[in-house]
Amino acid sequence: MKDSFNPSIEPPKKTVTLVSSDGYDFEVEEEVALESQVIKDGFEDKAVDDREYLLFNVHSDTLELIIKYCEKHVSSRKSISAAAASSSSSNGEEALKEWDEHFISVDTNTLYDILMAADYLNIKSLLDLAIQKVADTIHGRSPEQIRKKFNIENDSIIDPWASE
Amino acid sequence: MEKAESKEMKLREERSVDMFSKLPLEVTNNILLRLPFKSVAKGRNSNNETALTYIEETDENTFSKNPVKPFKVHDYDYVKNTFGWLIKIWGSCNGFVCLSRINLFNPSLPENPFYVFNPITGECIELPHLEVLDGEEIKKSEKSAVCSSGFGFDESKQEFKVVLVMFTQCESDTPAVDSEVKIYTLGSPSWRKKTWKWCRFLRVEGVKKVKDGSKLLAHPLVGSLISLKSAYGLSKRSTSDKEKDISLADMMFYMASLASVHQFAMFLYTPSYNGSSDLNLNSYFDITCSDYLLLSGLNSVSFSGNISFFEKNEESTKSSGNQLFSRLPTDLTTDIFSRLPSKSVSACKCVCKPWLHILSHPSFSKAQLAQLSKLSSDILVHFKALSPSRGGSRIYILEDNATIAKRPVDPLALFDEDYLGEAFDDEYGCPLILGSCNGFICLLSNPTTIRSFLIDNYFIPQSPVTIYVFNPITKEYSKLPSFNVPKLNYQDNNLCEIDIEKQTDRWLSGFGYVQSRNEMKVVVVLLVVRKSVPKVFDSVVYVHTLGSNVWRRKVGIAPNVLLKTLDISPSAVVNGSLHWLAIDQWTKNNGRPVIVSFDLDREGFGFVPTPESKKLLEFPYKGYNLGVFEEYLSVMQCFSYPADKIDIWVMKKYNVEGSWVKQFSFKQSLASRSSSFDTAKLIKVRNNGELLILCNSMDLVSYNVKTQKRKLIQVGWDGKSKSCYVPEVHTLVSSLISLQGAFGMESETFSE
Repeated sequence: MKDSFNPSIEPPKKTVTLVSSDGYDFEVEEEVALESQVIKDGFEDKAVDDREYLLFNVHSDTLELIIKYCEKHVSSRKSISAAAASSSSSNGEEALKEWDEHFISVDTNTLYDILMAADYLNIKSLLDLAIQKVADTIHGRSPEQIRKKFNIENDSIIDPWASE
Repeated sequence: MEKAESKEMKLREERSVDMFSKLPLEVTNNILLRLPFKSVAKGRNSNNETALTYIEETDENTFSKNPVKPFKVHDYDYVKNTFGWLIKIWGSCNGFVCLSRINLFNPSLPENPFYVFNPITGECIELPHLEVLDGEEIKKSEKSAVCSSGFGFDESKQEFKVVLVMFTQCESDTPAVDSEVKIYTLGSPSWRKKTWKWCRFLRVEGVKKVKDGSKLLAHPLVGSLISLKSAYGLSKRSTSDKEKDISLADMMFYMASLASVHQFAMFLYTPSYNGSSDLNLNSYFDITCSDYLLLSGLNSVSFSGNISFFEKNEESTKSSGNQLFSRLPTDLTTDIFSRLPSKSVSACKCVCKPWLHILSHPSFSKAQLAQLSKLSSDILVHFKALSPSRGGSRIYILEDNATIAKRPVDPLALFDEDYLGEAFDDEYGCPLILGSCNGFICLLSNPTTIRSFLIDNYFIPQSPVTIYVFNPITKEYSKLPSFNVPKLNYQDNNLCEIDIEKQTDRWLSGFGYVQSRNEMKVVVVLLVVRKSVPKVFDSVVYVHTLGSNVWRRKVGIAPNVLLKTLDISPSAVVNGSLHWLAIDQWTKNNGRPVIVSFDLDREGFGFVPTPESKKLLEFPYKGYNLGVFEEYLSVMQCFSYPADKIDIWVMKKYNVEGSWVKQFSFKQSLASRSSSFDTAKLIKVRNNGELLILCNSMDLVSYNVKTQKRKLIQVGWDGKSKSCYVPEVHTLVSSLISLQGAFGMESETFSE
């Protein structure tokens, strides 16, 4: 209550509401939501008081992760550019890479959800991260292992590489 | 508290059950219109509102069957009753097909009326009468007439247009050609006329002959459920139809997004001119595997009935396990696969059929081309026997792992002189490797008539020059158009004879990839100097882009210093440029090594600064060699006197003189078994951090700078013979990219 008496110097942050496919509202800062090219594209056209986005393809569990990712990227981008401005050396980019690495280390179902959501929301860096993760997962595995990993049914009647 | 929560839950549940039917129509339309038609079945529920549902991903098996089971066939009777017999398709665009009957007397002329037809829904509209086509008029004027036409969609104006260009020519007169352009915009009442002085044929139909002489015309078609009537109000609709229409703007959005959706092929099959004609979708022809993808997912869809909207929504947005990854959108899957090395790609081909289809599709080859430079490369070794009795050569593809240390080596692929001779029509089975790039190697067949086994550096190949591009993993190869070595600006005509004493001719060639255009180019540089007074230089550069059928020619752009280079093929391909190390003999910088670059994108030469070092300038050029260190250009300097040393310089920032850094410096004797040698070439930094060095064109050594240990990689005649040498070692990213898929080149596969 005390805080409300002190007028804050910064203007209140603008927010945007994202609604997941199962109906949960997520209120996020505008710049976080703008990480999605799809939201960015439609942003200008929308009225200021109607900044709600219905994300039909994104379940709340996934949306939570996506928002976490976007928030992290927005904040670390700021700190990196701040570090660059003050010409102090920082390993912000490497730290972010590490964070990404950790972020994307999820089970295949979640990975699939993230992949689809990143594609749907058109978040380039996240899509790239997820795609690379799938590629890395496939790398070095045999067909049978890949099927098992991704839960794919074997529908190959003739194995085209059986001769090799 | 608990109660409130459960109430909320209940609310949510209720909401999720019915939420989509309560969405504003424009929102649902907006989403649903992004879908290809096969994912959307359109129907009406009891409220007479548009209802749509997802249809399960269809069974790919249908499309690997031969004959293909077509999605829809309009048979002869249908075609005849609707349009008349003998029809021609003038174009296909956004799910619609423009067609008309053809003139009986002149089959290249259309006849009224024109139709625009949606093959999926069967809807068909007739275009206004076009006067110019009244056959009698054409007959009267005794003109020969030809007609070209097209059908397309103008995104900026959101209009469909039919364009018809008539060429008429008076038979007896001068070959004056009149052309008249008629344009019809869908929805407008009549044709517009435009005169055009430009008189060339706009379009040549790709006619594919089928066995019995009948014709098969193929057009791409995006299946759609768009109704022309509702989109354009082109004809009266029956009053009983109370269907709530999707607005025109939404339609257009749908059309625009359709461009990125699957296309499938539509074939018009005309057995003969007086026979029947069937308008088929996916007719009964042998379609190669790559085409199946175009046809994927086409199973019949029910267009009516009470289908509740987003029935499976909850399930599909929150994934619950099964088969997820085989159902990813094609572009995502393509992206994932394009980042994999060839071994994993072939493993993925076996995983499931949808993946096999994606991996066999030409678009995959193109996507992978752009990604290949990021993958770790394998090693290509060209090995030659020194004694002529052994004759030939072998090409080894070695994986960059522990297998290369085995004796004998365990190659990923091996081609001996018999194979090379037969596949590339090379007399001695010893083609010259001009370059290696993105999984392909570029080979010159019959490099020279005079076989010199050691001095390959100075020669002009015999005409016609035959160059092949070869994928050593899939064994697919393609022959580039051949060309003759021209007579350069010489006065005497005895050029055919190669006389090293009298003249200095140089043949240089390279092979590289242009990232910005996703193209691959083969470059040949010919230089001639006539030893008269004054000296005469001349040069020609030939550039061939894979997939084209010409060699483009540029005269006089090559710098003279290229006359004295160490290698025929560029020693390093970095930053989209080929690099040769040359010796500048012609200017005041006598004997100074220079790096000549050829930018593959803008196709011009340039110079790259050499390391600024006194020592580098003091010794003869022979000790220098270009190489690639990680992704940087590097210079390797190797000398045994006055010091026993190998220096490796790396240019950390391309074309910045100050960025040269001496990365390594070690004793020469540590790297090789020979006591002294004068050439060493850095091939690559291996995946385990060791340096792969080719010493004296003899020994391929993997050298560990830290432990100062070396491993000799023994390729060749079962490791027994020592009288052999290794003229060329390249890096090669092994890939399954098909020349046909990536560049549309005609290719063959040679197997023993």
